[in-house]
Amino acid sequence: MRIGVFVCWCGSNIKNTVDVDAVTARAKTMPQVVYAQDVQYLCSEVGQSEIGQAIDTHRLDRVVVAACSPRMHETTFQKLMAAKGLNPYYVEIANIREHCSWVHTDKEKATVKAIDLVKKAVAKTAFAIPLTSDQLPVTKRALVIGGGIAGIQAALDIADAGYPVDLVEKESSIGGKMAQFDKTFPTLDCSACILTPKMVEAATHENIRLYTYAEVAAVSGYVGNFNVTIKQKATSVNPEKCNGCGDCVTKCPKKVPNEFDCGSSKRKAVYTLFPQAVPNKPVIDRDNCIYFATGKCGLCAKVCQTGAIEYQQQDEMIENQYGAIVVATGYELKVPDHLGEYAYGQHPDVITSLELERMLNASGPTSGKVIRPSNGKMPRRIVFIQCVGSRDRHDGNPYCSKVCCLYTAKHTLLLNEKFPGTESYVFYMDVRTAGKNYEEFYERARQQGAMYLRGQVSKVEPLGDADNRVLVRGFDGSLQRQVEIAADLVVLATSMEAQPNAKTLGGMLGISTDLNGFYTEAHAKLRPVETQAQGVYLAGVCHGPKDIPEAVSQASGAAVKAIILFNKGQVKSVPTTAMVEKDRCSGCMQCQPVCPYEAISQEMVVERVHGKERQRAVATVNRALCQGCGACAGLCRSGAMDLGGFTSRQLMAEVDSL
Amino acid sequence: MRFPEKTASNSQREDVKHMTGKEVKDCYQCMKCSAGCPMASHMDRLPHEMMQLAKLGLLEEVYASKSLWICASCMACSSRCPRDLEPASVMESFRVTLLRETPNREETCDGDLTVPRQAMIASMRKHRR
Amino acid sequence: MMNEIYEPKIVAFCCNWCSYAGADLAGTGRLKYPENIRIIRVPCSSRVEVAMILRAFQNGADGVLIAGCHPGDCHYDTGNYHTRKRIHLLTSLMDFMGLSPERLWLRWISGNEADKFQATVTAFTQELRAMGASDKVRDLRCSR
Repeated sequence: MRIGVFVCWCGSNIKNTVDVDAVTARAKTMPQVVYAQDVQYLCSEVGQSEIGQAIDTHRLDRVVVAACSPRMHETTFQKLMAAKGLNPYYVEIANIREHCSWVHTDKEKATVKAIDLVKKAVAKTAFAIPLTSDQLPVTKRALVIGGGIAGIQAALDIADAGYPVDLVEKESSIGGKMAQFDKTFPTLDCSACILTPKMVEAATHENIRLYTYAEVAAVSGYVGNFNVTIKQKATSVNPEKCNGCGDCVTKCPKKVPNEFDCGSSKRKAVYTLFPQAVPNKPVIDRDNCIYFATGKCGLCAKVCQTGAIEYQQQDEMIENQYGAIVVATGYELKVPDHLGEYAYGQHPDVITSLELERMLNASGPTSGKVIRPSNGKMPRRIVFIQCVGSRDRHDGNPYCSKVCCLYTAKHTLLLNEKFPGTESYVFYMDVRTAGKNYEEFYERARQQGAMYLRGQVSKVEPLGDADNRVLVRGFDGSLQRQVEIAADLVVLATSMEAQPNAKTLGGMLGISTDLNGFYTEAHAKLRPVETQAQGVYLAGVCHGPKDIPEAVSQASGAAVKAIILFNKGQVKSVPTTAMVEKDRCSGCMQCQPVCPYEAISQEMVVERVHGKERQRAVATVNRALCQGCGACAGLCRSGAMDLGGFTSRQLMAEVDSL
Repeated sequence: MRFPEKTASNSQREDVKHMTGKEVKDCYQCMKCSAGCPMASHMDRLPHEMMQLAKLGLLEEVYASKSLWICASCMACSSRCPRDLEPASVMESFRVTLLRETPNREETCDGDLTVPRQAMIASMRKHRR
Repeated sequence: MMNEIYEPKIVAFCCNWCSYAGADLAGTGRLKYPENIRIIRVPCSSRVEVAMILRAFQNGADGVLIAGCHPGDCHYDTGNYHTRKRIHLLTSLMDFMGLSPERLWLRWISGNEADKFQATVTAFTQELRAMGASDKVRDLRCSR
């Protein structure tokens, strides 16, 4: 073994505090070191070629670089090694800048430390083993989970790039929450008008396959090679035969609260989610269907002219291969009945923003009229309460739901425009309008007459008058006094929450959720759409509260990440993976549960013991999944598990050198 | 304070807007007017409160406030208002409204001066000193 | 002789993603701390084997610092939870063996907590100076 040591001056950065000559001289005496040299700038082209020349002339096979942090230039030197025909993992870096010259002032002591650090690196590189990464093939098909606006956008982008996409949606139609909205801020575009064309485009795109009324049941595999089981719930309606005439819906005798209208209207047991549903085929809600409960009725099958009703349909498990997965599962709204002071669920005229949104929607339960649920009359004085269940550590979610400030401004505007003479009061803590044209929109809402009162509401209670109005007790920070408003309608801006099953799905995908149940991105600033699991990307509110433009841009970002993966066609695995010495492994499998990537599994090996063949279980590592954390190696009792680049022998050698 | 069933009518709001050329609804209560008002310590309602009351249509309270007559029209608030609302002008408009409604009203400065405050301010404005 | 300051030897295991980066940032920010520490880079604090820590003590280290990402922030999701358990167990073992568990520190230092890294190293050095040489541990050497 012939180790060469190169000591960098880094101009004056290292040289001023560390005696580089002394370090170089001392390095020459270290075991296995055949050559040592100091260079002004090792990272420069000159420095690189000096190393290259030294490798050639002194037939070096390992290199120790004493310079800045390996986090800075490790790849630079690894590339140089590769260019010289040496394994990139035969270079070791002693960090004598960030960890020595920059943090110490005493030149003598710093030099001693620098020598120690070089000694440590030399000791480590002596035990270095060559490492390579594997090229893994990529299945060029993407899965998008969630058919809201984010999922639709991601699917369309990937499909437009020419790759096939499967879009899985749990409801019977794609569209998601956006389909429930009336208008969108800050332009007051009609939500359906901008969403439905996209829904239709997704449904008719040659590269997109829709799985509505379906859920992801299981995920295995890794980047480029995911194996996903999709559970297609039985719709009881044959989509091939159904022509969407709606006769079954008309005739169905069973009425249940309509979730799409937040329960403020009724739907049938056989139903389409909303008039513009895509695909526009009804499904039978088996939990509420009379036929499925009693075996009688069967009206829908009788009226169906095409014979599309199929009661005997079964849930189906579909298994597909995917190269990348975009998670766009969205959110749920918190039901604000946990905050007793707002009387939600106790007084009919206290409603959520989404309920108001549905009322404002022309295709909603009231055909666009805003009424007081208690008496059906038009409200004159409406009080909006912000941050209901948001920014509330005591009895809600600690985070800001981000969109409520703007949609409340939108509601006041719409009310003012549609029903002049209504008074809107908004109790708020802060108004957050960070977004393009959002401040202007808020300003417009105020100019149109919305009255903003800074302070929260402490109690909403029945006024007990003939109109059955409610009294809202709050505080106005500007006037510094308690205020009371007798209101006809109270609208609560309730909090956005992660899907209740977010953690389960995250577990399947190998991605983590934060304290609030939203999926965690790989890096908060620089990798906001990637996750810890390679090949799994995030789009929309499943990652944290967002408005529509943000969700759409993130979806496009996620799509591009998938397209990059497909264009490359292969993925490089991490070279520094765990490895098992099978002879030593006792098969205790303690390593399996600590692996965050499920890269470790059990395998049977056949051994000959005393002339007899014997089967024995040992651990084995899937190199494609392993990310090289070394938790398994740190724990292995028999020392069978090791980690490339950081082997036990290497680390022990480092410890011993000190 | 219980909000009255009827707040300021649209025509009343229009009057204020007409007189000042400003829309009090634009006020977002940054309170910069009150922060810099040299007369604030003598006022029963600070300038930002006057703006808020006007915004909410609680004009009765505006007219009942002594602050209208404490305001020296120094225009510090107007020069600093980030919304360009000129609270001093808004105050002035309320004073004018009141004076018009009660022609014999005479608010004078404290102390020996018997000159009506408004006359003094008007004179200062006219002669720029 | 007694008045001379004892300079302890500290071996630190820093995870690549948080604590090593924090130490790098301390360098970039030119934050000064005592020269006694030697940092060994590991991918994750959970890579550190108990044997390595004990070997460091056997070789005459006066203190060992294990530094990783804050709980919940691990680059590998869960590594530091394993570390926490493992070090907790080792601490009780050291106590049982009659070694001073105060000589083993486990700290969470993120990639932007350069000042925390500086403060930790400084405090550890000072405490070890006060404690003096770790003779007891050294007596457990296998050979030499």
